[in-house]
Amino acid sequence: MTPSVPRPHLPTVVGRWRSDAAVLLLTALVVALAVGVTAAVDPVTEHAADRAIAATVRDAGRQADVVATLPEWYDDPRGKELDPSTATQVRQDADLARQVLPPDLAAVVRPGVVSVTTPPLQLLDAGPGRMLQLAFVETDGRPPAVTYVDGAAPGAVRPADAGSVEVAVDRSVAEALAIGVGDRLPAEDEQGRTAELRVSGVFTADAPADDAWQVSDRLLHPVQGVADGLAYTTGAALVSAGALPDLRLSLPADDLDRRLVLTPEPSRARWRATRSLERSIVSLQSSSGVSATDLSWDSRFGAVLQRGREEVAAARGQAQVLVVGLLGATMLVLVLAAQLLVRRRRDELATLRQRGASLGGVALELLVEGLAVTVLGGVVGWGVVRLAAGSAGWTSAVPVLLVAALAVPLLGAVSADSHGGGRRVPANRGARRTAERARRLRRLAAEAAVVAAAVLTTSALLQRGVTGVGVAEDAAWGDATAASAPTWWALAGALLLVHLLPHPVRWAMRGTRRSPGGVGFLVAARVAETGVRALPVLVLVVAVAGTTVAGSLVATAREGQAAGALTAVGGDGRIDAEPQADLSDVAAEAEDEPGVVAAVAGRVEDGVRISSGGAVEVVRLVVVDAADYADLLAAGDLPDASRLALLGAAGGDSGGDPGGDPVPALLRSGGSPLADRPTVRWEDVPVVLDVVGTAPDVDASTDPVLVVDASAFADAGAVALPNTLWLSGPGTDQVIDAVASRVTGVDAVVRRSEVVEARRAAPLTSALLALAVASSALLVLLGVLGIVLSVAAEAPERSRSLGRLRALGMADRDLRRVLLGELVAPVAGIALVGWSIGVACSYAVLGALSLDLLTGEAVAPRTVVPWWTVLAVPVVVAAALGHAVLEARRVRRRDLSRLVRA
Amino acid sequence: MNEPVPPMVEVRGLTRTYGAGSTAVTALRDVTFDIAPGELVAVVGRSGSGKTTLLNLLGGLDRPDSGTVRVDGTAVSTLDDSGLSALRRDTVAYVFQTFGLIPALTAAENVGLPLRMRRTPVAERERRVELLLDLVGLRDHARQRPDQLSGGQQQRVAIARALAGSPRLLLADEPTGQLDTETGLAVMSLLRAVVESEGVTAVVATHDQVLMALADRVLAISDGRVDG
Ligand SMILES: Nc1ncnc2c1ncn2[C@@H]1O[C@H](COP(=O)(O)OP(=O)(O)OP(=O)(O)O)[C@@H](O)[C@H]1O
Ligand SMILES: [Mg+2]
Repeated sequence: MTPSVPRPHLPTVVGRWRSDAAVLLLTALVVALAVGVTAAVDPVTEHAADRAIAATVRDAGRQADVVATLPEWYDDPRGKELDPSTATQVRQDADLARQVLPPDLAAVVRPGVVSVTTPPLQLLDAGPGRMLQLAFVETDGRPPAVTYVDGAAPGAVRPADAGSVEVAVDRSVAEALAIGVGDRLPAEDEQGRTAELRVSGVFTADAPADDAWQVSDRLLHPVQGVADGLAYTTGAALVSAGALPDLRLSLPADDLDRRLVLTPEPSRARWRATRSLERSIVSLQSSSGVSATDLSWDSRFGAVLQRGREEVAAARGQAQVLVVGLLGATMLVLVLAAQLLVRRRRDELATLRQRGASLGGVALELLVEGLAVTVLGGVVGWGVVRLAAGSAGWTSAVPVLLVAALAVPLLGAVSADSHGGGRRVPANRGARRTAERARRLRRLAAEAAVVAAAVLTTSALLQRGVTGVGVAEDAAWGDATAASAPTWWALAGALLLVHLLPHPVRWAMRGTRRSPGGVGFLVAARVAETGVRALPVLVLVVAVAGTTVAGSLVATAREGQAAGALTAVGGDGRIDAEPQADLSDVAAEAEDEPGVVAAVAGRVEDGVRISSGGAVEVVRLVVVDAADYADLLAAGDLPDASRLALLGAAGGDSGGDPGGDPVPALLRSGGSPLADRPTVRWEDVPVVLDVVGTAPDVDASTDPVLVVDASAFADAGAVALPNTLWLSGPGTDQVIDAVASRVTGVDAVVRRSEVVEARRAAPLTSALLALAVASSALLVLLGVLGIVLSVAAEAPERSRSLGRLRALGMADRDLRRVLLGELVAPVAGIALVGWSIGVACSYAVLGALSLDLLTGEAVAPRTVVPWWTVLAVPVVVAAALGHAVLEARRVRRRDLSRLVRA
Repeated sequence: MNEPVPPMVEVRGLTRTYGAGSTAVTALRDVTFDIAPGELVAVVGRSGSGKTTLLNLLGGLDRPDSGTVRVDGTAVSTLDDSGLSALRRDTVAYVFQTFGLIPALTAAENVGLPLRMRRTPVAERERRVELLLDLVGLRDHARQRPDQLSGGQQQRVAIARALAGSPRLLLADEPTGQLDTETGLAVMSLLRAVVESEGVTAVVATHDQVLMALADRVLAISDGRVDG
């Protein structure tokens, strides 16, 4: 009896290692690569996610502010007295508000701006339409830094002057309102309650970008305009801590709005903390009191964070699609390597088994080796990432590690079992047939499982996308179900290929059977004999298909970004300016500039209200020459150009409306569809519209878009001076600055190329694209490894077969051709099919990956499968070719006399 | 014996040593003999006596350390690689102990291989394949693949294949080694018959004393020396 406790025999193990060093090293290398990549994905995505959240918060600007409205002061009805501690009270109330901030929120916001503001007060000294808002502003107990160009900071007035407040204004405000140091300005609020303002100083802001100035835009930028036919000017004035008691005394409490505005510091908002921050904000807002004398909170920071978090989730989901493909291919390659090892050791394992070693003992010996190789590869891959990136994940590499450690022991045990006499092929033909049937059933079940997985994961993907909605965010890898859909399809396609491949091979044999030569015929015969092993086909198909999907993802995202930028800009370039009649002339001149195909001036006005029946909707109104605009859209490959022709045709039916014929309009409606005769008020002129079609998405508006023809609009009595100039054509980037120099009051010059650059440089986008590039390169490498491994596994058998042909007198040249043919032709065919599967997967899947979150488009970008993804095919073919050349040399050198003895 | 016809095989002072130094094994020692055209010669000897080594040297699968081999007037030992493959294609044919058929091809396709290598026209090839399969009695098995044939049938296919290219010299290394006595005898008589009908010269290595009776001449090898 042999001892039942299996004990690995060290010299045997070491000897085996030496003879299989190449394969073992390769296995360790593959493990190291897979572990390295997955280990890097976690810190890299985390880093990119942090940067993306920071960017979202930064872009949100003041939308992200957390605003505390401090309890309203109480005015004693028996009369107020001057209270010198007023400023201290404000500071204390702000501190109280800060104390209720949840700690995580407190950690991401800056110290905050404390303010006391009044509504705009009507100045009564000269003419109507002059308003001045008063604001006490402090950051960290200090007023914003200013330099007085005249006079001095406001202070307390003498008791005799009670009821007056000293204020200071920015120079621009002083100029706009025509006020200066020493002026005494009687003012009243909307309820007619009066106060006297004394201008103590005129200043310029040292740091206009300081958060403090955000308390009121008008502190530094007075607004002038026309409302209801009257010109108006509104500015704001600073009140100092010293003057605050006077303000408190002069105006009733309900005119004094006390706030603490906390601005998040973008770099402190971490992606992992977003969920809890959102919760903190919700709980903070729900703690708000209901009455004016309670502290209340308001913020859209939570919504901003949520948007950022969704974008990150989408990007992680997209990354997961790539990583799952990579891991799938890696595991297949590892199994292939294990198969090769076990095949090389088949006789040795069989002998072990015949000598009485238990299956467990055989497996244990192999497990020791598998673990050593896995640990070695894993530690190297993980360590490199750890050193390079400072941190490294490992959870997603677990399946790879398991396969690497267990494949050889399991396959080895199976091999020892079937070749070592443990299980014999049944002698009885019936029993043999039963065994064969069972084997086929098992295989069929496995294939059915793969197809079922493909269907299930795809439906998961189509239903909920990859954004991981409803999945715990903290879970390192969330839910890989949906993300694995493309990989499953590649596997299913590969299995189908395994079933179908014998047919073309048989056709090839039939086609060459009646040829005089032997090369083509022998190639087909050899492929028929060895070419259709399942595992190599799976590896190659998954690798090439994965490369193709990754490449398509990159191309689709990049093209989508270009298209999104085109829609956002409205052409190759755009100049935003103040409304002016000259803009149309500038546009006409610009069309003559070199490289400009079309240039159009138009009016783009946001926040315009249109009403129909009882419904009111806020739209972006675009007033533009319809024909010219259609040319512009057509020149820039923008959609919807043809619909603009509808605007040219003069108003539909003349239905005796009070405003004359309705003006034809295109409407791109957001939510509620407006009834057919909406009215827009333009500078007090009501214009009745006739919606004749859907508007183009002008400059990527979030509001509904309403487009009308400028001359039709003018005919209806509404003159809209253009404020926007669009340029289209290859030379736009060069000439746009020159064109802008002819425009007065330019707000912004936008180049499409710059918008595209900015979008591509966004943290999530660049990280995802880098991952896609890296994973497609790695997948090609895995495909090559798969080829090398499977070719190496067949090499001894092939060398025997080719030796026979050589012994029959086949010339070396023909021998080489047979070898090249049998190695290269199947690889080329399988790789091409893999590429086709990748193309199909790209079209089926990319639309569901929420790539629009990366491209900034309103809808999923058009799937683009670039031609160069097919280059994966020549690369793997070249690998097969290289191997064939090496092997041909080896076959020629091989001693034929040995062959005869084999 | 002095015959006017030049010999088909002329072996002079043939020596082949494997390895070097203390582990060197001399498989053939200064072997000299002639084989006349149309002769069927049996090479017999114990295992390890050097039969396979001799056949390999005759067929150009191996090169001698010293001595010469001439087959049909060609000095085999001086040929380069392409000369050797031309020799194997046109002059010498092999029948292996392990049959050496290509598993993916049918019996007929296997037989046709040597003709494909010479790019024989298809019609002529098919005629010859049919003829040879007839000759070895496998007409009805033409479309079967090796794994669907018995060992004896496989060896008969191998013989038909060896004859397909109309070689001058047929070398068979223990063609019956994997067959039972009776089948072996049948294969041997087949060889005997085809040697006569095709007019080839044959050298057959064998252990089997019984089979020697069918040969024209027996070359006994022991310890790398041919005696008699
Ligand atoms: N490649 C080799 N390297 C070293 N020695 C070899 C080699 N091939 C054959 N030998 C030795 O040469 C001698 C002759 O071998 P050979 O195969 O010719 O004998 P054989 O008569 O064909 O034997 P068998 O009847 O068993 O086939 C043997 O001692 C063998 O061990
Ligand atoms: Mg031998």
